[in-house]
Amino acid sequence: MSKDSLANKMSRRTFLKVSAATAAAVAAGDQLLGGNGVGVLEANAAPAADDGWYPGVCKMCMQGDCQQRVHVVDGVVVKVEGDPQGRQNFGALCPRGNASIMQMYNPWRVKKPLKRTNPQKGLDVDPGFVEISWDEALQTVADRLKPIKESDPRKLVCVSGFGVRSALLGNFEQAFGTPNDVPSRGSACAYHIAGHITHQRGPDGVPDLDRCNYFIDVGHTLGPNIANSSPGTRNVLDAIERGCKIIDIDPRCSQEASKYAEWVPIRPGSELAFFLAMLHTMLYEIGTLDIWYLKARTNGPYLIDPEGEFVKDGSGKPLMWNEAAGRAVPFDTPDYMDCALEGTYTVNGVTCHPAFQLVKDQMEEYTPEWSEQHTTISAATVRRIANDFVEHAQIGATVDIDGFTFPLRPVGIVSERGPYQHTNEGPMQDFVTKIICQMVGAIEVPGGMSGCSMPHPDWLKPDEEGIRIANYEAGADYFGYPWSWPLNFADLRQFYPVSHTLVWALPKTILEPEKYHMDYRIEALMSCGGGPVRSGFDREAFEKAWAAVPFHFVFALTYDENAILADIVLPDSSFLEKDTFHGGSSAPPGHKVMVDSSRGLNVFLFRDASKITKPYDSRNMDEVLVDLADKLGIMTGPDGMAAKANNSLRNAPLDTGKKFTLREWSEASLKQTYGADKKLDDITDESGPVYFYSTRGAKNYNYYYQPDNQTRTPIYYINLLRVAKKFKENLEAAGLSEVPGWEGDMDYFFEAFTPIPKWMTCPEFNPPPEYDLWAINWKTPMAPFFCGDTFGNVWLHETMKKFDPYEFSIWINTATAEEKGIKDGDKVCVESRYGKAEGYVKVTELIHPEVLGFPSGHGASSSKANPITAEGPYFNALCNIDEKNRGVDPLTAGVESGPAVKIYKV
Amino acid sequence: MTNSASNEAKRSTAGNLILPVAGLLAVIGVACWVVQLIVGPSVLADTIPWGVYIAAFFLLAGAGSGLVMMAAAGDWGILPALKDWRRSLLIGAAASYIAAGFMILLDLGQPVRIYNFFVSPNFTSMFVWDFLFLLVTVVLVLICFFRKETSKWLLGLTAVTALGIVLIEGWILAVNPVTVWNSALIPVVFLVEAIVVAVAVLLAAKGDAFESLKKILIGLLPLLLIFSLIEMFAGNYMGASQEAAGTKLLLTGSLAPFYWGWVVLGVALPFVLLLWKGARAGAVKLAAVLAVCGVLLAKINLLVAGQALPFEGGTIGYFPSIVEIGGMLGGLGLAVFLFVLGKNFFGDAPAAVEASAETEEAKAPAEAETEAEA
Amino acid sequence: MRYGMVISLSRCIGCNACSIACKHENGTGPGVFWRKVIITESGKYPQAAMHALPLLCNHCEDPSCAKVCPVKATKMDANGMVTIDAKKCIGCRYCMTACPYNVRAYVRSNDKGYFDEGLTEYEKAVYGEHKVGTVEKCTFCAQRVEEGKNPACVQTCPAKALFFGDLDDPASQVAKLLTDNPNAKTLKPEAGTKPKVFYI
Repeated sequence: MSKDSLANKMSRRTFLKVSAATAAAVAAGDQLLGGNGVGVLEANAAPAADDGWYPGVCKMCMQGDCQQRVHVVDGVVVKVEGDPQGRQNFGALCPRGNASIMQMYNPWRVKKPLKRTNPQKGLDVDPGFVEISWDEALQTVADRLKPIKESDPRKLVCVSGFGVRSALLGNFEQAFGTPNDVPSRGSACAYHIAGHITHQRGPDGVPDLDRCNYFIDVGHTLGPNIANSSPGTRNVLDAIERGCKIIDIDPRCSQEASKYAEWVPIRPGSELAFFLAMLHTMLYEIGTLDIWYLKARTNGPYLIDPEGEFVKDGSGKPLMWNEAAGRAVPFDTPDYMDCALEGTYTVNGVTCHPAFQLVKDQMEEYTPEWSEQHTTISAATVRRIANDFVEHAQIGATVDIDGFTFPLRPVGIVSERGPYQHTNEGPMQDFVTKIICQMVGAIEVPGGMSGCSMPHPDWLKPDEEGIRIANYEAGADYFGYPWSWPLNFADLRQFYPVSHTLVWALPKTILEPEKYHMDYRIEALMSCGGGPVRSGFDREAFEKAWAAVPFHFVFALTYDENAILADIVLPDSSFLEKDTFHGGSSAPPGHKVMVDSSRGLNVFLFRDASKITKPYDSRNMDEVLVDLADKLGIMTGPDGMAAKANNSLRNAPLDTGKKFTLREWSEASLKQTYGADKKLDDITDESGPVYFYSTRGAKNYNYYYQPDNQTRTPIYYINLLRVAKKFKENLEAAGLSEVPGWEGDMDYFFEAFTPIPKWMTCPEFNPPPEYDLWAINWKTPMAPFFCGDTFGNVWLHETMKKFDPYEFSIWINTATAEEKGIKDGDKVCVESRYGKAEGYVKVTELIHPEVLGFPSGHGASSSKANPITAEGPYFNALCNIDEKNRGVDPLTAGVESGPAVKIYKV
Repeated sequence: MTNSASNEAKRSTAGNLILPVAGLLAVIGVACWVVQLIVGPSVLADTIPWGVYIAAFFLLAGAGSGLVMMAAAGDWGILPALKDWRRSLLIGAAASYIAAGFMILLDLGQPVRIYNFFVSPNFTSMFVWDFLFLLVTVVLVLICFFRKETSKWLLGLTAVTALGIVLIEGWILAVNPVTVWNSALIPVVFLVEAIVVAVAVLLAAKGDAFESLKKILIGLLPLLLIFSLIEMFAGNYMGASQEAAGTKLLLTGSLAPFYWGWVVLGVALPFVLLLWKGARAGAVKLAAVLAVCGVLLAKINLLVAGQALPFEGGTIGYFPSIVEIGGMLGGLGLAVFLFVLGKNFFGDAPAAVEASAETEEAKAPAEAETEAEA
Repeated sequence: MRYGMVISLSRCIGCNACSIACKHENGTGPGVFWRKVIITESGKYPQAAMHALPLLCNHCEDPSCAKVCPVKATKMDANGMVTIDAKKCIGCRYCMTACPYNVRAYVRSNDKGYFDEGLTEYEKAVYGEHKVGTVEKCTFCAQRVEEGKNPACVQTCPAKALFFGDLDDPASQVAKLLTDNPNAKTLKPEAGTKPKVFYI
C-alpha cells in the first residue's frame, strides 16, 4: 500500500486494467473490500462488460469545465468524482459537481415530452400537460416554426441559460435566420465593461495571484463562491499562505473574507465614493505613481480639447505635449518620457490639457473625509488602504520570466456583481478601480491585473490612436451590435449599445412592441437552461410576457417556470447523460484568478455517456436541435446548420449534405483544434484529457506581446463619450429624442457615459426615509446558480439545511435586530418599493448594520416543481426592471440589485 | 396443581383485570416488535440513539434488582416485614429482568446477533458486564426461588450481583466521554432509583401496610432531588461548560416540561402525599405510582439530555414514535404479566390473604403504564 | 502504519463538497452524513469572522466506540483505521452515544430514498450495501485507500484543505504538516480518545 496515496497515481490505472482484464478479479478485489459492508457493489453480480469508469465533464454551473470520472454499473451512474488528471480541477469537484447524480436521478424531472391542453397560461394555472411522443412533439414544434421561418425568422426568440449552453444552439439560430439569441443569464452579473474597455479580454479581470501581494476584493469572491473547484479557490488560499494581503470591501463577511487580511464593511452603493477617495489620496496625498506606465502605456499624456476629444495632428494622430521640446508631438513619439501629464497647453489655438490633469482635477474634491459620509468607512482606513496599495505596488520593480524583463506590480483590485449592480454608480466605481491600477502600472503585467481569456497578441493591440482596442460589450465604439433601424433585435440591445445581456427587455418588447419601436412581433419563444422568469427580476412581467407569446417550446430538465408556461415541453437530458463534448464555458479554466496550470490551457472536454441507461424519456437538447433543423429543412446546404457548424470546424468540416450526429460533431471539434489524428474513441477515463498549452511562462502575460510603449490603456474613457455621441446621432436619425422608457430622464441615462469618473448615485442610495436598510444578494458555494437545478437537488438541499444556518436565511446585523426587536429565527417580511420577500432571520455579526443579506437565489418555485425549491427568501422580488425607477443600468443593462428596504416581523 | 387451579378460579371471580390488561400491553409490545422487525428501525424516532427503550430497560432492570435487594433485606432481617414476601419479590424480580431483556431485544438493530455476546465479547464494554451480571442474577434468582431450603447467603449473593447490575448500568452512561453523563454520581442515582422503584411497587401493592417502606421512600425521594442539584451545581460552576448547556436544557430548554414534571409529579407530590398524616391507603398508592413514573421520566430526561447536545452544536429534540411507545408499554406490561402469571403458576405464600394482596401489588406497574402513556 | 488526516482550517472554505462526495462514494441514504462541515461565526462586527469546521470520524487512537462495543464489531485495524464489522454489529448504538464527536450513523433503512415515489435507479443500486440495524461511519474510504487513492473527501476538496496519509511515515504529507504545525489541534482532547484527525 502506498505510503502517501496522494503521490500514487499508478494504482488507479493498474486497478482499472485489472478490471478490464477479468471481471473475476474485480469481484475478488471487491470481496476483500466488502468486509466492512462498503464497496461490495460490484461483488454482488459479475460486472457487465460495459461496467467501469468513463470520462465526464461537469455542467452544474456556468463554468462547466471540471473533468469528472463517472462510474457506471449496469447502466446506472453510481459515482461521479473529479478526475485527478483534469488540468482545471485536479480531482476536485465542488458540492454541486458532487451532487450531479441527484440531478440525473430525480423524479421531479420532466420525464416525457408534454403538450399543453389548457390554453390559458399562468404560473398558477394548471397547464393540463399530457404526455406525447417525441415524434409528435418535434412535429408540432416544426409545424409552428415553419411559417415563422418563411415570414420573418426574427419572430423566433431563443432564450438560453448557463444550463445548456452549446455551440449548436447558435448554429441552429443562424440556420433558422433569427438574430434573437437572448441569454437569460447576465442581468445580475453585468460587471464587465470597465475591464473590457481598459485592458481585459474575457469576462473577468483576474489578479495574478501567483505573484500578487496586495489585493482589494470588492463585493465578491475570488473563487470559493462560484465554480469553486476551479483553480481560483486553491490559488487564493495559496496566495494567503504565501503572505498576500487581501482586503475585502463588502457589506457582508464571507468564509473567504474571514481568511483575508481584513474585512472592511461598506454601505451598498457607495463603493464609487470609496475608490474616488482612494484615487484622491494617491493623487493628492501620496503622490507616488508609476509615471513611466502613465506616460508610456496610458492615454494620460494625450491632450484633450474642450469638447473632450483628443487633440490630433494632421494625420489623425493624437498629440501629447513634449515639455522638453515645448511642443505637441504625436503619441508614438520615442520621447514619451518627456511628455507632460499635467498642465494647460495651447495647440493650434485650442486650449487643452493632458488627460491625466483632467482626471486629477476631477478627483480633487473626493477626499477621504468626503467619502466617509457615504461609505461608513473611516477616512483613516481609506488612507491606510491607499498607502498599502501603493507601497505594495513596488513601482519600478521588474521581474525576469523566460529571459524577458517585465515590470512587476503585485497589486490588484477586482470589483464584481455586488458593487456593480447599481445603476450608473456600479460600473462607474469599476472604472475608478481600473484607473487606480493604472496609476501604479498594475495592468497585464506580472503581479497585476489581467483578463481571464487565453493570453494573445491581439488583446492589447492598439488602434490607430495608439490605444488598446476595447472588446466584447465595450467594443461599441466599433459597434459590436450594429445599429439598424427599425429595431432588429428583440432585446433592445440597440438602445443599450455597450450592454452585457438584456433578457429583461423581452417582457417589454413582447408586451409593448409599439412603445419600443418593434416593427415585428415575437411569435415563438424557445427557452432552455436558465430561469429568466425567476432570475429576470420581475416575475409578473415575465409571466405575462411568456403567456402572451403565441407559441413557446422549452427544453426542460425540471418543471421550472419556463416549463409551466410552455406549450410544448421537451425533456432535456441531465448533463451526465449527454454523450457529447462540452466546450467549457465562455472563459478558459481559471475563471477567477490567473494560475499557471490553467492559463494558456486548451483542453477538450468529452463526456462518454454511451453506457448510461437513461432513467427517463429525455434527449440531449443538441441532438433534438439537429432533428428539428432536419424537420425544418435547415440542416443541409450552404446555409444549413451543418454549414454553420463548419464555421468553427474548418480543419475537420462536417458533411453539409446530411444530418450529423453529436459524436460526429464532437469528433470534428476534437480534430479541429487537436489534430486530424485525434479520435473520440481514444478519450477514455484512463487516457485523461486531451490538452495543450498555447502559452506558458512569459507568454502568459499580455504585456509580452506589446511591451514598453507599444500600446496604451485608457485612464480617460473617450470611448464612452464617443459611444454616447454616436448613439445620440443614431437616435436622432431614427427620429427619436429619447430612449423608450427613459422619457424625461435622458440626462441620467447618459450620466455614466463620461470619460472621467465622478460621483453619482444609484436610485436606491437616497430612498424615502422609511426604507432604512438595503438588501444585498450573493452567490453561495452550494447554490450559486439556478442552472443545474441547484435548488431542486436533494443532496445540496439537505446539506445546506443541515449544516449551514446562513444559507436559507435573511441576514441581519445583531445591533439592527436588537433595535428592531427581531430575534434569530423570526419570520420577517422585507419590503422594497417594488416588492416583498419573506423569510427567516439569521442574526449575525457578519453583515453591515444597514444591510439585510439574501444568500443565493432561493425561494422561487413553480407549481409542479419539487417543493424544496420554494424554500428560502426570494431576493429578486425586491428589485425591478422599470426604466422609470432607474431599475436598469443604461451602460451595462444590469439590473439594480441593491434595493432600499424595510423589515418587519410577520 | 390443584392449588393453582383454585387460585385461577378465585381470580376470575374477583374480576381482576390486571392479567388481561398487562397481557394486552405485552401483546402490543410484541406486535410493535414484529412491526419493527419487518419494517426496520425506521419506525423508531430518528434523532438520538437511545430513547425510551433504554429508559424502560434501565427502569425494569433497576426494579428487578431493587426487588432482589428487598427480598434479601427481608431474609437478613433488615426489613423483617418483607420476609414473607420472598417468593413474590423473586418472581417480580425475574419478571422485571425478563422484561428488561425484552426491551434490549427491541432496542437492538440486529437482535439475532446477540449470540455475539458469547462469541465475541468485549470485556471493556459495560454492556458485556451488564449482560453477564443480568444473566448470573437471573440464574441466581431462579435458584433462590426453586431451592427447597432458603439460604440467606445465596440470596445475599444474588443481591450483590443485582446491585452490580444497577451500578454497571449507571456506568454504561457514566463512562461515556459525553459530559452530561460523565458523572460518578450516576451509578449512585441508579441505585437509589432502583430502591425507590422496588419500594414504591411494594407500597403500591400494599398501601400503608409497610410503614417502614413508606419511611424509606420519604427518605429517598428528596435524595434524588439533592443528587440532581449536586450535578447541576458542579456542572454549572463554569458557565460555558457542556454540563451547563445540559442544565439549561433541563431547567429552561426543550426538556424543561419533563424535568419540572419530574420534580413536581415524580418527587414533590409523592413526598407530600407520603408525609400526609391523614392520608388514606389510596393516597399512598398514588404516591408510589407517581414515584415509579418519576423514575422512568428521570431516566428518559437523563438519556435525552446526554444526547441532545451534539458536538457540532445545536440541540437535538426527541419524541418517541408510536412504535417506541407501544414497545415500551409492552415491556412494562410484560413484567406485570409475567409476574402475575408466575404467581398463578407457582403459587406463593401460604396465606390466601397475601395472594389477594399480591394481585394488588401487581397493579402498580400497570398503573405506571397508564401514567406513562399520558 | 497509522492512517490519519490533517485538516487545514485556514484553507477550508466551508463548501461541503466533501460531505456530498462522501455521499456518492459511500452511497449513504437520506439524512446520513458520515462527514459534514459546520458553519459558524465568531467575534463582534466588524471584527467578525465566519468559520467552517469539517467533522468526521476521528479514527481515534483510543477509540471510545471500540471500547464500549460489546461484540468487538468496532475495532482499530493494524493500519490505524477504526472500522466497523457490519456482519458483527448488533445495532446497540452504544458506540454512537460513546462517540464524543457524533459522527456515527445508524442504518435505519436501506429501502427509503429521497423521493416519495420510491427509490431511483441510483438509489436501488447503492442503498443495498448498507446493512439495516447496524451502525456505520466514515471508513477513511478504505476501499479507495486500498487502491492507493485518497479518501473521496480529500480528493474532492476544492480548497485542498484535507490531507490524508500515514502519520508514522515521516515522509508523508500529513506527518510533515504536523511537524510544521506543532500546535495542531484535535477535537475534545479531554475525552481522552486521541484522535488521528488533526486541525491546523
